[in-house]
Amino acid sequence: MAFVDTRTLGDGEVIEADICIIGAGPAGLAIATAFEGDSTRIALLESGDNGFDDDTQALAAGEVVGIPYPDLDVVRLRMLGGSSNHWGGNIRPMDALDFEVRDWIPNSGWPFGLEELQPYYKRAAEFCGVPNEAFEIASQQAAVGASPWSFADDAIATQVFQTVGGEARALGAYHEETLENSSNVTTYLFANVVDITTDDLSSQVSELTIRTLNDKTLKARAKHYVLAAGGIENPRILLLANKTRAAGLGNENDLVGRYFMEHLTSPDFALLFPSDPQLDFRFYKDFEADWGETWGMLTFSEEVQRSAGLVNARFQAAKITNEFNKNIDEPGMQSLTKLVQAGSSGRVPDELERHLANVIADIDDVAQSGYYRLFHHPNYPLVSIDLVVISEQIPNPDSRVYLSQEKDRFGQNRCVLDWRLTDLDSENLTRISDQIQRQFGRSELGRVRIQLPEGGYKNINPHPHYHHMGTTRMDNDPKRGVVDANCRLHEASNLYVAGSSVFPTVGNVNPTLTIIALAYRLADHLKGLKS
Amino acid sequence: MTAVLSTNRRVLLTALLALPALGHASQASPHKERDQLTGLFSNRQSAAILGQAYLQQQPEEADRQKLENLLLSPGNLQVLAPEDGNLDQVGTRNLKAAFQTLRRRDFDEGNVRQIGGCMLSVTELRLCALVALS
Repeated sequence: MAFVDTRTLGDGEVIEADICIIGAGPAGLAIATAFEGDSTRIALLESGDNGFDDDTQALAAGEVVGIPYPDLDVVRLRMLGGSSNHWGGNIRPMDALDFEVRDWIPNSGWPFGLEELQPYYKRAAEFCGVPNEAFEIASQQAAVGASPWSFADDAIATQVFQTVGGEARALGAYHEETLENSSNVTTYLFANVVDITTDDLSSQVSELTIRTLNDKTLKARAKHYVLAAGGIENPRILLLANKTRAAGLGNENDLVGRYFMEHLTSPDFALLFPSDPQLDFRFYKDFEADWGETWGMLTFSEEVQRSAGLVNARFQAAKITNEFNKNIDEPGMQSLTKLVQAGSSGRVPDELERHLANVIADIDDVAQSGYYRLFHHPNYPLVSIDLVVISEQIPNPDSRVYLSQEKDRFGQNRCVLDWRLTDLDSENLTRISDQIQRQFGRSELGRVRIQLPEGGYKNINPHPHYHHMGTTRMDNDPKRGVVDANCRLHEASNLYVAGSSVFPTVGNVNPTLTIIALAYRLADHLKGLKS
Repeated sequence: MTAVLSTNRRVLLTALLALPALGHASQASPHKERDQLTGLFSNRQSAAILGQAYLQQQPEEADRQKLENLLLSPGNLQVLAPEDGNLDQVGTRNLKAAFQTLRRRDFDEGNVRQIGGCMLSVTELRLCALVALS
């Protein structure tokens, strides 16, 4: 009986376990399965079913203020596997610099370095069905039969990303059989945790209150509790646990819900015109692997990040065939004609940027046309490469999740997402654009045309990735973090938080692999307590 | 110095015509110079457009002699003609490679301008400007 429909249990019933895990998303699943076969009794409490359920999903609704963001019941999922059910599947470990205190990034730094997470990253990749060597450049080179681009002084590095295949991407379904057959892990479906009860000093959690949609109320008691409900729900549940302390559990320093971060994308940001139209693009193109897909990404070296004071950003190359091709009667020369006409009349031509981009592309086109004519290919397609930038957000205490006055069907306050960026985020977009242009130029790889939004991120939609991070940040100082380096709540010694809400900074990579790695690390910590 | 500049002008203009291939100097084939000549006409016009855009930003440089002086400054000549400062003795291939070095130096030192969203080196923009004024 590894799966239990909580709605079928008796009203007032008490679930007993050694560890109660709230939420069966990637973090909760990783921790639960890490104990599989152990003698530790795990109660995995999942709000939803093992498939989508409309009524449960409605509990995820909330308000959005600040930067526009999709509805909160769209950007996360309450079901077995959690938001991995709409996960894109992209994984890669964070970089070493992401963990350091960087004096140019306010509130940066983790309580430990990358080396602490390395062994857990390996296990996390296995959890996702991806072999660890797939992240190595040499492995990708061998698989693709192509090499990464070479930049002067290695100022831009290539990294290998993986996309988890469709079957493994819905992590709940992928690990459902393991849960089903488990002798010590019981998964309670339709179990909505609505309160965390503590002792009078809120130093120990004594029990959880569970409600079901058929109006039953149950309790869950354990030695240890893990809150793994996602980057928006984790702070909400802590803020709702306010019977002992009005500000909410773990919120004595007003940190719960603050520092909400997303990954930032500026759409239509950069277009690369390669110096060589035959620039080998294969390393950066999706390559089908046994476990899913794999491809290369570009990122600034540590040295460039340090010297230019940059956030960590990556560039994803998407090949497009541009319009400035084939022969000199095409748009490049048409633009040239327009410019000449406009120039001779002494006025600034319309759409100057587009015309100049045409001309720049045409220069390369003309340069190479001789080569191609030589080889009897007069109408070759000139390519340009769209560079999508994805960067970390700078930790900002004013970017936050807090409780709404609106209530859900259990009478619980819904949450408000107030996502905010700072001027420093926009400044970094300018610095990133400067560096990407400079490094491609000095490396003779081509020219990058930038379309920098006027006013930085203020006037654009930064294209949310549904990555909800930072809202119960990790720091060994209770004045700076909600949880300590072991992901334990500073305030309550037997309550832990798992998931991207504990990330103090977020790097440029998708968070799921780090979420799972941290979950495994937490599982090891809990096993250590037992022993 | 004036005599050197006068002698250098023809060579320099030859180099201008080869501008688009600067990025491929290291990959030059035996046919490269012929390729450059093949692309000559259109390239001059394209270069002229960029040069025109540059001169709109830097109107004080809208003078052929001034541009030549800037392009053939002692610092640049050390790269373009390191032996004796005479470009006549420099083959086209070496000249292209030298311009590539100058362009790299511009990017390293931030000696760049934005034209239509693209970052371009000042050296190559001055070459373009010279074409525009030709």
